[in-house]
Amino acid sequence: MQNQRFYGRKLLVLLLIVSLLLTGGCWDREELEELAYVLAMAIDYLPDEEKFEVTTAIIRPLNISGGEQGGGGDVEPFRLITTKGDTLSTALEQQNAFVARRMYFAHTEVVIIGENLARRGMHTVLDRFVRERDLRMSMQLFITSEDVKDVMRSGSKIEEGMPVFLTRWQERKDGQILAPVVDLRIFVKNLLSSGIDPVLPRLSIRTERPISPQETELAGKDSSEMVVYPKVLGTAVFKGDKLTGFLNDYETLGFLYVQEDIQHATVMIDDPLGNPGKLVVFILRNHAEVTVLQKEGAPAARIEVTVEGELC
Amino acid sequence: MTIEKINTWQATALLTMSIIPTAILFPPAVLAELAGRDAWLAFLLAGVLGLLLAGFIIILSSAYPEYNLLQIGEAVMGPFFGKMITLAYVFFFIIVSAIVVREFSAFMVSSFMQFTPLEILSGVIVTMAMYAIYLGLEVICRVSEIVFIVVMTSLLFFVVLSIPELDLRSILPVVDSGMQPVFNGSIVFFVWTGEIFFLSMLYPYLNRPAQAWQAAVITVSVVTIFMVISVFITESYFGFQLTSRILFPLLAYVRLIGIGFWERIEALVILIWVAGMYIKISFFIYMAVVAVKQLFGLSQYRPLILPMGSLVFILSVIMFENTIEISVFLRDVWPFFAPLYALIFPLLFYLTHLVKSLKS
Repeated sequence: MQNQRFYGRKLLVLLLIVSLLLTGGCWDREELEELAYVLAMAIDYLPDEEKFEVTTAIIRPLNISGGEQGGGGDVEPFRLITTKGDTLSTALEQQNAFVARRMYFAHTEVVIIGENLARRGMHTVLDRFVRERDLRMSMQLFITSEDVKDVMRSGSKIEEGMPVFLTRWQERKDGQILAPVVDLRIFVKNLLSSGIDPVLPRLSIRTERPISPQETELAGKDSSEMVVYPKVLGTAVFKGDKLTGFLNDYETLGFLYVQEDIQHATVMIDDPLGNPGKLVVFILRNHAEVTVLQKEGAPAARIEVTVEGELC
Repeated sequence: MTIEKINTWQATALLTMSIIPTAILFPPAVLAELAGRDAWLAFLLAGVLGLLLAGFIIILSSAYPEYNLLQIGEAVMGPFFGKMITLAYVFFFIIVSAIVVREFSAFMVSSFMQFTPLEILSGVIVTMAMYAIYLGLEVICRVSEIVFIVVMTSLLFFVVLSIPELDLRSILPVVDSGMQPVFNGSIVFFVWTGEIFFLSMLYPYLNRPAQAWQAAVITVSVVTIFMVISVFITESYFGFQLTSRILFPLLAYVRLIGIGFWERIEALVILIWVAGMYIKISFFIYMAVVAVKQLFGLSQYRPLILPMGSLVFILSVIMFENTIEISVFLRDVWPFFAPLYALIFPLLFYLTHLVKSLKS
């Protein structure tokens, strides 16, 4: 009898523990399928309306989970959503009207800033970036003078869309002689350091007639329509957090030499033996030395660039 | 009841785990703010101060090898002043435990679990700590051995992975704004290296008291070297201006680490860190409990665990309004309060001891 009561109590405790399992759960859990992955973001300021406009590229969930079934006519891997607001945060909040998931910024790799916003001052958006819990400091920043929506809409020559193009662009090791590679961390670090002002790569678009039928198909247009491609070329120069101007591709090259950022690039020189024609040298190492001196009372800098390479 | 004994290695693990888990939270940003690009020098200076303090604590404890710090206090200061100082230590241990618990839950809430109430996180960890204290110091020590190895391995990984990012030019020019900022910074971090004075609470339990200096030197060196490296990392990666603006610079850095396609490994780092934090909280509340036992001359401390745990839990919730307040408190208030217990009181004990032994 006593034994039975003992086991009964044990069973009761066991039941209680088992039922606890059902009530449990992590408080702040986040399921993969409950998130909207923002791949890229484009922000601009509309001076007429005094509003911020933000366009996000959100990965289409069906394309990921559906795998093969998602194929067919619609191959677009992400969708664009544009909203406006008095601040960046309120504009982003408006996006909830179109998205049934939580906007998730941990995988945002690209942020495109419109020229209007950059001239007005980057502080209006930087604070949100630095504070956002999910955002990574390694995301890439770009400046564009075009309409940011056009840039976001543009396709890519070989990648699946503009955000993927920009992500790949900053990851690759060679040919980066046309624009500097700058992420959020470097931008903010340079902004806060005394004596250094930040720069950003310049992003623009080129409209052209489709060259091949495949290209037309990829863009989902008929052959008479023009297709738009993004290109990264040139440097946007800041004073403090305000955009002041752009360097063209030639000036950018010089800037990168001084920054010792030239990698896997070539330089063209005259033949030292005096033969006609040019020699192309593939750069292996790039070293720059900047000395500050006084010239007629005004400060001046002497820049010496040494480049080591091989013939190619 | 048998007397609990711990070996030198366990003492090292316990002491290290009672300093590092919170040292990596606020100090990098606070010292970057106070000492700028010389923060590494401030950490180093605080480490040297910690070593000196450790030497002094060992001298004091070896004069009374059977007693912990509070027992020494009561032995040399007489019953009245001894009890008063023990009472002060009781308050100190309760407050410091509450701060540590709050640092833990504030960090978790502000960095990962935004919508989880602070009370839940504090409550869970304090309950677990109470269980550890119930099982005794030896158990805490044995757990800390395991945790020490895991935490130090993960920190080592972190350091090795960040070597490519190191840019030693970021600390130049050295001391360009004088030594004052360095001193200010080192005073703040002396709170952490000064926690080596807990060795005097462990001293009677050591099975080889002659090796106590090893535990002290290893602990302070490991903490200091790690903090100097981590400040190199964060300042060369973010620059000191940005470092001082990020609440938890090391977390911000860990978030950026990726090993090949393995990205966002910070969850793993946090998992390990929580284990270290658990040791720290258990040990701190343990010392508070022991101090109360000492104050009232009780034979056992176990009946005190539940009230002490509740007290620490409530204090941890009501002590601060928000996370920034903790950071400001640790910068402006705590550096002038903690050394009283880490340095001034032990010094007082030792001087009194010297005077007494000269008389006799």
